[in-house]
Amino acid sequence: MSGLLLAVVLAPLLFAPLAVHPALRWLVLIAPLPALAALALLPPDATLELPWLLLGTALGFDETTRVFLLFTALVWSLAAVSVVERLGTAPGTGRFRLLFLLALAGNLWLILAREPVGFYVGFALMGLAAYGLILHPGGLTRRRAGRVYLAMTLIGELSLFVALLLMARTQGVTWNLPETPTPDGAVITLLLLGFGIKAGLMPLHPWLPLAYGAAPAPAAAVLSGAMSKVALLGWLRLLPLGQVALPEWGMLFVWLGLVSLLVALGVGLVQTDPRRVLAYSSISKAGLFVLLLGLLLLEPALTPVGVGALTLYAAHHALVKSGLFLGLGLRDLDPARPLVRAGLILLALALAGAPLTSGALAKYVAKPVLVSPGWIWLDLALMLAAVAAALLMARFVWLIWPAPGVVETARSRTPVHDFQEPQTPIAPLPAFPIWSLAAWILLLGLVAGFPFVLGEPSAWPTNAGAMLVAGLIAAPLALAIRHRAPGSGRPARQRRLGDLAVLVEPILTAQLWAGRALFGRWNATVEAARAPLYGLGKRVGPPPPDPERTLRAWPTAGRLWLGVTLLLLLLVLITP
Amino acid sequence: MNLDPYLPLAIVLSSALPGVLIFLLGEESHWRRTLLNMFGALLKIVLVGWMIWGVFHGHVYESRLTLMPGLELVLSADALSVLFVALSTVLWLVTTIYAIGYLEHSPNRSRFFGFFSLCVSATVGIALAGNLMTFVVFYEILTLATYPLVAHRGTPDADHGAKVYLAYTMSGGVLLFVGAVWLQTLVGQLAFTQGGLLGAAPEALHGQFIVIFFLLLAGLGVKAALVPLHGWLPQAMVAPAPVSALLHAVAVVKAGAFGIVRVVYDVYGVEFAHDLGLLTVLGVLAATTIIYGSIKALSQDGLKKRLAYSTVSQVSYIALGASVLGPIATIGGLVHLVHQGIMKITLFFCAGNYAETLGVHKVSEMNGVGQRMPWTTLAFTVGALGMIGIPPVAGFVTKWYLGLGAASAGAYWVIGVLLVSSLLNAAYFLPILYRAWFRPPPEHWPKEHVLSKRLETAPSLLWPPVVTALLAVVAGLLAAAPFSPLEWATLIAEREYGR
Repeated sequence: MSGLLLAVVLAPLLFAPLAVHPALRWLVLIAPLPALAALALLPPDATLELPWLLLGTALGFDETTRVFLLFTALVWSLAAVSVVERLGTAPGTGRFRLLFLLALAGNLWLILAREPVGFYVGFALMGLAAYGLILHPGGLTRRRAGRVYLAMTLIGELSLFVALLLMARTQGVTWNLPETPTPDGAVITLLLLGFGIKAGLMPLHPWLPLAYGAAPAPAAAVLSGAMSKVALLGWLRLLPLGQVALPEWGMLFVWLGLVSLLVALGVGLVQTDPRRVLAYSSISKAGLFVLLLGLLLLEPALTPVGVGALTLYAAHHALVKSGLFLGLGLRDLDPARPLVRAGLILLALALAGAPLTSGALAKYVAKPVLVSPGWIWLDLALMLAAVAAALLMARFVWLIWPAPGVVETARSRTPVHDFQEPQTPIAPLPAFPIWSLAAWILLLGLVAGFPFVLGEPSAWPTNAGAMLVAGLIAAPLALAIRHRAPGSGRPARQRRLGDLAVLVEPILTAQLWAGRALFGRWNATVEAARAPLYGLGKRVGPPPPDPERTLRAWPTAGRLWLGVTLLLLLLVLITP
Repeated sequence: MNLDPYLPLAIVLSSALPGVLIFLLGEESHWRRTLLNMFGALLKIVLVGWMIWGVFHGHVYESRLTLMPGLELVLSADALSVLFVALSTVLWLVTTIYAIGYLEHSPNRSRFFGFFSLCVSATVGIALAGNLMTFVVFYEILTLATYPLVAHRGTPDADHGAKVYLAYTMSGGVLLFVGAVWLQTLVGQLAFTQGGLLGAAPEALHGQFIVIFFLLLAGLGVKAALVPLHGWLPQAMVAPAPVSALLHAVAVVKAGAFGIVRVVYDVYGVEFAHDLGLLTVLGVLAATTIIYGSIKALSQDGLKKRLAYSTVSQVSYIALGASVLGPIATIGGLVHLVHQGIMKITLFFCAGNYAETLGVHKVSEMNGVGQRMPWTTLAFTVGALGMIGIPPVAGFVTKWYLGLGAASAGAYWVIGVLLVSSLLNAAYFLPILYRAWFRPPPEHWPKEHVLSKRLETAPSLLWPPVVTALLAVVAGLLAAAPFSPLEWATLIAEREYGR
């Protein structure tokens, strides 16, 4: 029965090459199903040992992993509907489906992995496959986003590789996760770097807004929903939580988390693309996760509560974020437009943590950890963050709301994009994509029901104060701007604020240019040094003609060689 | 009747004899030539399989030929020889099939296959060599047997490349010979012994041992393409693809690396070499080669040239593994002998396919080649990902063991070298993959030949890279299974360190 665990990973891997074919694209839908089946059918501590695979692999469950597997499988399944229905059979979608399933396989593998090599394999597979997802269906913006993503992902993967090597040094060649290892400064730094890139912690975040802005809706949904949570899982498994208090590391995590939390919210407020607003929201949530981890490192006794809170928060965030991205992809459906807008508002409220939503529940569960050190400045910062998050979501709703006086049809809605090039349409829009919409509504139901199923009534009014403050700030602003007549005022400037990659690219270009110049110089020197050596050969010239020429002909030489060799062999064999 | 003493000799002859016979065949006897080739390859596989089983159970196989008192040619099989012999044999079979397809309608095929077979016998002789002099003899035979292969095409470029090759390798051969003879005059006949045998020699000779090491290293380093002795390798790319595949995966470059491993482990002994400070020098040279080769590869547009510099860089991982003290690093270096061979031969086969089928010789011409030749490009992708070190292809296993060995020995700079080289590998392989898979193909390929009606190219060109790519993935996925290259390398390390 534990073989089902292997099927969870194997099914997407095997379906991946088959799903390239347009007729078999429905395989994408059933690929995440073994994961859901495994959750339903297998006992909570199921494990499967495969000592002959890689360097010795094991797959299995524990409490945290089950939750991660659940929301990951849900996010991928719902995104898969969009992949099959909306992306359809346009050129390049075969490649997209292949990479989609490979990324799914990697994601599931790393969740189930119970030793470091398996975790790393899944992580690498997922990270690389996602590159192709961002790239679809092409264009300069996406290529640049893909390049930045790939470069940063590779650095993250290599950091994780070295971290795992250093851990394995003290524990032998393979060891079982998640026995938390002994703390080691170099390892913690590398883990922070490697997973920080994946989560989008500032200042390692430049790839995130680019990638989320460029990828098609289902890809952005899985990137933001499932793949970014991998970083949290990695930290939960590999950091020395719950053992001994690490005050310096804890404070470092707290400060890094706080910076991400607040700065990202600020940068997000001035974006003009709703997807980038969501990206900065993800960055700020990553900051919150790191903040919580830092508090757990400072106070190890809180670890069980903290881990539970983080897992719940991750589940909430995954569902809501992927729902937001999928919803953005459904914005242009004519009859359902108000429905989609309402759904997006519901999700935005959930993300902001409005009372009675899953966000409030997650905040409530995390509260014991957040108030644990009792620092006033932390409490103030968190209050500010709550208000700012609500404002950010208000900005998001503002951006998706149609301008007054403009009648929208499927044709006239120009998607917001970063550069002036028109965004390549994903596919000729098919007949009404009822299944994608249905899947999205299902997701909405899950998000709506989340707090009522999982939480207690005392959790419901959390954050009411923050929302009120935010509403009081936002409402007058909105009314003031709305009252301007449509068409007056400046046209919205396309902004690429916060794109730190722009700072790095000139440095890289300069390095490349310098490298080429240097190497050109070096090559020229080496060639100049070699030239006289080669010239020597020419100076010697061919030997003068002579009577030995017939001896040099191949048949003669060959026969002579054979004859002499045979003679020598005979001599050697005969002599005692 | 005890056949054990004849087994190593038989393995060497199983390709030498067909080689000689092929010379005597005319150019037109296509079927007899193919038959001889395949017979030799299959016979060799059977014999090597027998030998692997025997060595695993501790049998001793030794063929001894006394040329004169104090000079014996010894062919013997220990775990390390078997690693290299098995690699050579399997890859020879695959390359023969590939070469038959590649050189279809080419002139001088009898000459080619004759020297091809001699080249493989020389490689196997190097692998099975039981003492340093035998090693040197077969090393020189290898040089001579590969020269005609490099010069096969007969064009002025080929002649020049072959001349450069010969100049480098003959000079290296001289240095190697001088070193070997000097060592023999100091300590007598030198059989390769696990754990090395120079550690027991008197203290006064240590200075001479150090000098001899450098001589041997210079001689072996030419073939192993250690910087600055690597210049012949990119020039030798003028050879036909099967030759490049063989040279860079199996015969010449590996022979050099194998020689370095033999000298460090079975002549000097790794702890003795460490005490003399020789391992540090080797490590620095290897690290320089790794980084330099990768940087040069970045600027190459020619596909084979880029792969050549990649080889320069990758083969030095073996030397790097040998230069770190400790069994885990040893395992990493040894297993890379096999892994790099399989992955590189895949890449060269694919390069040959692109050249033969589409006339594509440069990276800049490779746009959209994944649409036209998906299986070949898939094999290329597997090889490239393995080179970068992405699991589950075999290259990851090497990097893991090398890194772990370095961390265990406290040599953290090695991890730095691994990181930088992985990033550089990604920098010059990933753009190729991007072009192949994500760019649209051009209107017309430079020189398209339709070699097959149903498949993307001729079957004898398509199957070898697909098979070796599959082997590369299997070697990584099943690394912990019995009889994987990793398990064999672990066996060698155990016997070497005496545990």
